[in-house]
Amino acid sequence: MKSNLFLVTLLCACVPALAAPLTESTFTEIVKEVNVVAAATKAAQPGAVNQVVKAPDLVRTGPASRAELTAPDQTITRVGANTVFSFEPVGRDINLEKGSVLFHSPAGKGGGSIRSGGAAAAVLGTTLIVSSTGTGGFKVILLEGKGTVTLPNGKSTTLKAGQLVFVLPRQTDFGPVLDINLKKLVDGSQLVNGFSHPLPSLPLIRTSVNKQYDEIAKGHMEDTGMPPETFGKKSLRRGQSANGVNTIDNTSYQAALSPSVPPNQVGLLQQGELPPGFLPGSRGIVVISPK
Amino acid sequence: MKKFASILLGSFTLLAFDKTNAQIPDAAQQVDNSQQRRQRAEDAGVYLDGSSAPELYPDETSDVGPQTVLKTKPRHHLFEAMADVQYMYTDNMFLTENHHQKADLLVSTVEFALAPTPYDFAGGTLAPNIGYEHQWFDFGLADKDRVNVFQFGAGPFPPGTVKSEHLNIFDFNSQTIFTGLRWTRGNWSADIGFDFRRLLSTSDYREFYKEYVPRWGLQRGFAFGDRAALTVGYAGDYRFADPKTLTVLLGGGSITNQVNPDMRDRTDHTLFVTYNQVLCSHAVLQPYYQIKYTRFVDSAFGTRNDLLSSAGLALYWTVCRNCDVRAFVDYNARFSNNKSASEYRQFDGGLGLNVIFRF
Repeated sequence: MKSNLFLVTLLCACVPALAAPLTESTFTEIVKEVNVVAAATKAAQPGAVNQVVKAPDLVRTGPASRAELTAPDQTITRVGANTVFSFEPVGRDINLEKGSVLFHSPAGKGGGSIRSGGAAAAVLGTTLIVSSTGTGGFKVILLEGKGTVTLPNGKSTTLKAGQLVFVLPRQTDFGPVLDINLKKLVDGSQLVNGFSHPLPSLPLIRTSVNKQYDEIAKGHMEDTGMPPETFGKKSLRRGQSANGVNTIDNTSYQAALSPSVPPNQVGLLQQGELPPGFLPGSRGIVVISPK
Repeated sequence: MKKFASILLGSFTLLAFDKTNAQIPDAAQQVDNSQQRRQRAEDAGVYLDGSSAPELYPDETSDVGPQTVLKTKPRHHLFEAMADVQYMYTDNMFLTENHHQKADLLVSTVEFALAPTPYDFAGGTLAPNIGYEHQWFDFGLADKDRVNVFQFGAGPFPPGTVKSEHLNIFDFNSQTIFTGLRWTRGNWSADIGFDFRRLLSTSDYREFYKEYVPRWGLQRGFAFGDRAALTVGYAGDYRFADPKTLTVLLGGGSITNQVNPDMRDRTDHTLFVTYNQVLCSHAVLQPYYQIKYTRFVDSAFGTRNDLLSSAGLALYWTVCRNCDVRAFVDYNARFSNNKSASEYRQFDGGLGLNVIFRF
């Protein structure tokens, strides 16, 4: 059931004007069962380290298997178990039919796109994990950096390191953006740790982990937007607007600054009488209006 | 024209159709991006602290890694200290119907409160507070205008004099002890509270007015996407007011003049609507409209009902977590069914700075 027509785009930093195409990569590590399926013949051959995989050949991994491919520009694609993917013949796209991939493109190299069925995801200069059900379900986890994920219907959401967003099969909208424990994820991820050498972006990921852990240790997490209390306090404080003269109740204000008395009625005040209907407040001083 | 009923009807009609307005605490909460996301997460219910994000397919976690959801917790605090200053221009300092006096006005506020982090209560959160606030109202800092004033004296005759004075003779300050409770659940929140306030002249700190104010309110927020929200609400109070009674001595005798009967007990009922539009990660534009009905229950001049209609626009810029600046304009119009009360129009506009710390 190919209902996965989501176009999820993760954009970070600036797009270099000219980027080398990402149409091939070399196996730099293989764990267990990894096959390369020739697009022309559909014949599957076991993959091997140093073997170059070119578009549009498929890479297919078996259970508990994984592989790492490195492009000439050092863009790294790590492939999880039970995954089927290929490079697109043009541009910098990876076609993820199902399974999971970790994608890291060094800053300034042009990033890349991760497609799922008829859809795609793109990333520039950051590290993320994308997993796909093959039936329209889609998940994006950001390991470091920031980015915005956009659906083809125009809906978008912003992610920072340690955040996750997903689209369930047969749905056309995001689920909630969730903050996840990045340290637990990184420590337990085969895509991060299941290879003989570390990711080049691991120091950046560790920085994100440490930052999140600091906030957890303090008992709170940093808000990316404006704290709610910032505006609450000044917009309506104890039942009154807090800007301008309305800072104080208008009648209380007039206890201090009463309306003026006309000059021709000052004489009454001097005789200890009040002009009819005159409300001088309680301050004991009133302004005399101009003639 | 003192056709109060028609004004009341017209104002409520305006309120019903005005889409560009007003004020409230939790409105900004609705428009904060991250808060919205978390709200959606909380609405989802199952994604609580320590739970896991849904696994899209079997064994996804083994490759991707465990996805334990974190719930953002607000930092717990007990106290709140706030300082605010706003400098503005007003075209009608004395709130008069005619002969408007222009002036610049500095309003300085400091506040300290015991305001602990809200507690979970009855399916929502309960936020108590108790504190003290002091405000200074200083007029004519830049304006050197002088005005003629009549100052009541305690006698003997003459009981008062006419003088030419600078506007700062009207400087006053306000001391308020307040306590309150706010219960919030979802987009609703309800308030009750009590204030004791007194006003003093700044020159000699002589009290001339005090009031005891039980108050209550209810409001609801409506979010429009991630960047806009509307809040509508009601706020009410009853003011047990105690103005100073001016005593005038004439000759050898004494006359106690009830010169300020309409400073006495009254009740206010305010309807407000505030719109918050997030312009960027640091700026919010906030138009508002509110209408306040005041019934004077102790008027010496017969029935008195006032209607104060206020509209304004404020632009808030968050400098950091603890500090923001703002620019604002407000327009007020008061109507009354009592001819003794001035029906005034008043405009003000200015800049403000707010600093707040919680610890």
